[in-house]
Amino acid sequence: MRELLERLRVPLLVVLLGALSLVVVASDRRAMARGQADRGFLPGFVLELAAPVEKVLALPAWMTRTAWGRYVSLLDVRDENEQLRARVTELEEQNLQFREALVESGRLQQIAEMRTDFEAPMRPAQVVGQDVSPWFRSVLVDRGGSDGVKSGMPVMTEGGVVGLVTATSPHAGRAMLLLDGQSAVDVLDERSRARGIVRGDGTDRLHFEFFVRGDDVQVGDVVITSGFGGVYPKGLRVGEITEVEPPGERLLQRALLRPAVDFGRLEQVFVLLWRGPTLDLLYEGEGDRPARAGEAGAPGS
Amino acid sequence: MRPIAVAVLVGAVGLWAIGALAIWIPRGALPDLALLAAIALGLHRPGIPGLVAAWAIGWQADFLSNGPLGVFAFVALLAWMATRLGERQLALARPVALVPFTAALTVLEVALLTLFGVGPHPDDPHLLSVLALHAGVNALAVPFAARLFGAVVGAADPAEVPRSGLRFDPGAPLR
Repeated sequence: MRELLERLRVPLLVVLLGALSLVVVASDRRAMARGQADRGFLPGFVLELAAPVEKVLALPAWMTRTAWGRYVSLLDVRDENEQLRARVTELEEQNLQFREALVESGRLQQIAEMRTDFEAPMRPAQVVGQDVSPWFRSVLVDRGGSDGVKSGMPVMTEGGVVGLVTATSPHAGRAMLLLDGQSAVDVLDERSRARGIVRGDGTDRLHFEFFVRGDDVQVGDVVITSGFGGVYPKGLRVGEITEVEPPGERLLQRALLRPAVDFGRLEQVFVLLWRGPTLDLLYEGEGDRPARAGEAGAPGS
Repeated sequence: MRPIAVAVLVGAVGLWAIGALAIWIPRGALPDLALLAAIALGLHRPGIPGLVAAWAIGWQADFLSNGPLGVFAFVALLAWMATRLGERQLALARPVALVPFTAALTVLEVALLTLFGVGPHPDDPHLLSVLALHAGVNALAVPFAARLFGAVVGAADPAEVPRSGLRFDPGAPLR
């Protein structure tokens, strides 16, 4: 018996470790499906080690890109300046017209209230690394728990939504991008108010699936977060429709979206120090409770 | 034990470097270091330490990726086992066999991710090109990875091979 065990110890260990891995995969998949993105101590520990190393390793490339970008932008700066001045004047005029129209229709107050829905403090963070696998889309940022960043907090740029924090350590965080195959966001067509879900597929495009056939969705429409999913605040820009697939016989109609954010050039992002009610409920009582209304950092506070 | 710990550390540093470089390099053009380490350790360390080291490097990849936790550890385990099983039959010590073997394992890894429901989207128009690029990069990098990990862990202990390597050979009859 002992000889048999001796001979089979490697295959037995393979089976044991394989089973252990599969159990973890299954439980993690279940946790992700429930929206619980926090992965515990060990991943945080590895992130904590990885972030400063990746930051240093990426530094030469950042410096080269920044220097080159500054040189190129200097060449065009005068022309661009003139164009921008003209554009600012044009937009100021438009802005005045819109304001008057809004005041007339009484919506200015409503919009001001909507803005307070997601006016939460933001923490700037630098992207220091990306996912080590080409089949998943996430980034490593240099802000973590000690900066108030927690799992479930939205990440954005001035362009729009970037994704969601899925793991943190004291000084680093990992954010799942909208492009990841596991990402789904409840959205609205800004113009027609058609509601649907935007999903990533691991590539550089997004899929917009909307429920009601015949909804007015057109190429060029801007898609924003609806706030209904309880994960992202309402009104953040997600992308622009580039192609609407014919409805066919399906109940769901689909469209392709160009993301509002250039994910190929992510450098600086902002972590919204706010967690939506859905994730708030999931994390309640786990020692990772986000700020509530009335507390510092809460939306609208 | 020390060479194995160094191998795990080399794997970790390699993964950090890949994470940092991934910002600048096109998708799929960087090697899958966890897979390559598992193959290299399967070639050079046929016993339990090699298996555990490959598994540990797989976990490192899990922690640095957005995939479900444990999936790369499982892939590394399978890659190590496949290398052990194929070493003799396919003569994997020679690059001419190791290169296509690694490309095939890369494709199988993607198939496994798809089986878990987290693989690339089948409608992805760039799927085949990214997969071909990634498999090619892995295949080209594996001889170097094998040499690197071979230098780190050294030659396998001769006593380790017959005692604990995976074999189809049933061995001596039991008494």
